[in-house]
Amino acid sequence: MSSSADRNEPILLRASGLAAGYGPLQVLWDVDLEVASRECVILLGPNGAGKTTLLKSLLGLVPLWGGQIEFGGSRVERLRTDRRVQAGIAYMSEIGVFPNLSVDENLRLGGYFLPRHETRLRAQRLYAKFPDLVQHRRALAASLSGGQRKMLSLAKAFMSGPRLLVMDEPSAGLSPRYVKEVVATLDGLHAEGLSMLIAEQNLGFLDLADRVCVLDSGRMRFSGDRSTLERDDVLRRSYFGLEEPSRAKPD
Amino acid sequence: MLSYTLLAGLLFGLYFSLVAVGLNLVFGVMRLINLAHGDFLMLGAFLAYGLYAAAGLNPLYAIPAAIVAFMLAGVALYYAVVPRLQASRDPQMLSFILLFGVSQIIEALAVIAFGNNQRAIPATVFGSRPVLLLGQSFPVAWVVSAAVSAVALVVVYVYLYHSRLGYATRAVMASRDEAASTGINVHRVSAIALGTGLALAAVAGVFSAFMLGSIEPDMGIGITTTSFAVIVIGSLGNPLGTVLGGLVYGVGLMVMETFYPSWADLLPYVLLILILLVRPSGLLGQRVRLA
Repeated sequence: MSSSADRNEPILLRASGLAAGYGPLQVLWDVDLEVASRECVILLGPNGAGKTTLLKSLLGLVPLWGGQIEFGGSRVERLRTDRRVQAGIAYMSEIGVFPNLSVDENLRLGGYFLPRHETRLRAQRLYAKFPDLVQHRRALAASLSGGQRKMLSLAKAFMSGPRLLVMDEPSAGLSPRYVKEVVATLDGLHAEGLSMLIAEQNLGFLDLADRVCVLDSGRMRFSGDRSTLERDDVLRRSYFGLEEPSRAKPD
Repeated sequence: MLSYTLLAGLLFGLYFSLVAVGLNLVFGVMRLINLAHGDFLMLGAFLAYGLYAAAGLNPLYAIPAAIVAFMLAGVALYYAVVPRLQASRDPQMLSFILLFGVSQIIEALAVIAFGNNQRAIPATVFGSRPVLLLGQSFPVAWVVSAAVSAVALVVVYVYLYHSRLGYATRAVMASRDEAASTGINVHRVSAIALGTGLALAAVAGVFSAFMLGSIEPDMGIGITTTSFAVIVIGSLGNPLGTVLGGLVYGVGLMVMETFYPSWADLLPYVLLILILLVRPSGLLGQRVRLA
């Protein structure tokens, strides 16, 4: 797997002291997170750890109770979600598509804020990159298979020309075969220099990671490289049930 | 007799589709029931009446004025009310109460402005010769109302299915969060949808003197109920389902008025209860509700 990150790359996204929740329920507690340019950060954590809330708060879909978010050197925590997307943060939710719209409509909406000719050009380029979508361009997104829907979701996110791709459980609902396909696609995009922040429970995505963060009960418990995570007994056993590296089974 | 009833039902069905389509559009985009929908229709009716009474203008001239005025009113109402509602803990309940208040205020202001008297525009304003349709003769005002309704419904279809704004509107209908995280300004799209919804209600109001009887300030609540019945019959949240709902309601109303006239006023309530009990997703069901 590729690793295009460089320790000297500038920080693209810096979130500090994030607190957020729903109604009276606080979900995130003083969370810090950084993603450098060309870096892929995998955000791990058990169900209910607050991964989705963290990603949504970065996008402005969940209001922040406290903390700051910088993207590309500018503060963005007061910007509307669509403004953050236009600034270069693309978000791929678990659903990721509009099931009631056709493949083509989904793709064009990904570039909704761009001039029409630019939308058309980018759509053509993305059809070339994801050729499986071409034959389904008039079909409803709801009629696609899970893997095809994930590819459409990726292509839609790419229409905006993002500098950072934020993904929430891209493996959700996919068979192991499609998970491998998605991981391979993301690996190719990462190799091209795209920064990524991926919340996952599927450990197959660790192969993409330049850095791993672990969120639990709304608090950031770990941030470091994969080998450090794998050497940490508590994290390994408590959260992931990973075997010790020396006894890990080969693929 | 039956063919006349069915044809009249189709004409009224097209009109009732127009009456209700704005309510369904607003519900689809914002997930709130605009309880003041019928009151905006009433204001459209008074606009047409005012132009006719003051300058003798044909009600068709009221249509562009209604579209511009109510589109602007809808956009202003959205930014004044909806973002605050959506930030609340229970936006559905709060919107219900708030829009009921808006309905009462509009009705009270209309009573102050226009009085409690019933008003009418003579149907002969479109000409006095009846129109022959498949051998049956109908008042020209019914045919004009149905024709304008059909044109308005086609415009709604083109807006939703063949324009970038329409794609964005359907995206917001599917998921506000997904739409926002795709880079769509959901507030702008929703404000335009509310403006369009009110403008459609006002255009329907222009013809209410011919299709619903007299024009009066307290007509709003009954129209809102009828509109709700129509959209529930079709498919709640899917503007195109409204057309089926409107046609079923229109034909049903004409059949009742022809054969059981004293029961006709019960129709919207009976249909509403029946559909909610038997097929709560509407006649077109969940599959089309998504479309």
